[in-house]
Amino acid sequence: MRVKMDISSSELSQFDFACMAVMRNIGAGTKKATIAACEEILDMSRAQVPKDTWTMLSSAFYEVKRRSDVAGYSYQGIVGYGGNGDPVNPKTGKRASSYMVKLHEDMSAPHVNGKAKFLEDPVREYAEGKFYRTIFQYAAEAIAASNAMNAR
Amino acid sequence: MATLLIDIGTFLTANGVTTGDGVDLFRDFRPEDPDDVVVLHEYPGSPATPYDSIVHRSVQVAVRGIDADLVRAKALRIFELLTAENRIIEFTPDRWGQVYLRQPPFKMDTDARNRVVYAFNTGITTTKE
Repeated sequence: MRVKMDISSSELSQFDFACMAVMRNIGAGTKKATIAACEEILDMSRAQVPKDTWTMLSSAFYEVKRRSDVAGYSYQGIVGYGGNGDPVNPKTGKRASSYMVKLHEDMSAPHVNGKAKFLEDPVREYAEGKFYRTIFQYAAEAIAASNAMNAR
Repeated sequence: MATLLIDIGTFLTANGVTTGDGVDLFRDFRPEDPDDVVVLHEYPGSPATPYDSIVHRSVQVAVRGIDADLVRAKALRIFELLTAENRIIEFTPDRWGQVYLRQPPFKMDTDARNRVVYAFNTGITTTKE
């Protein structure tokens, strides 16, 4: 049996160009997906964080940055507390970062209008129920955008 | 088979880390006295599935005492007791669990009476009971 293949260099270039376009769009989609995931986790966490003086809530933050230690389009999202200038609790005079671990971890202490594990629980819930949905949503958008561009 | 926290407590007492439930070992509650206590808290794990009796649960181990070095050493001892190459720990003859140690012991608090609390979190795959 023989197989004959005719490959045109111009078509190969077009294919190569199309693949690169898809990769670029996937890269942009990865960043959007990471931002969407961070925002959703932070929203869920804000609903659970104790709100006695609202200090911890106002220190909630997220940041997304491209990873330099990994090849390709890889982004890292950090969601946490103790940011936004690390506000001071008006009752205790302490900065949010100085008591956020205790507030998050101490399950014996009372939590006014909130609960312990206010970040861990949302992250776990998101990872189990919503992470794949976000990936598929933004990957599908990126591929659709590439297809539309290639069709032109 | 008792509840998960009772079974973990039985395991800790059998290994000489605690004296007994309600003495220096407490569940979901940290009393003011005595100073030296081990407290087990269960908090939300993964959602259960109707077709599987095995679930993923979350347990925090907290150790309180006056001497920070001793408290940390006790927390580390419990951490090591829950460490196995295949992650499987037999808490009692009726209860086993696959234990995922989420982090080594960390200092959680120093309370108003200058007592130090070290804690670490675990994920345990075991039965619903």
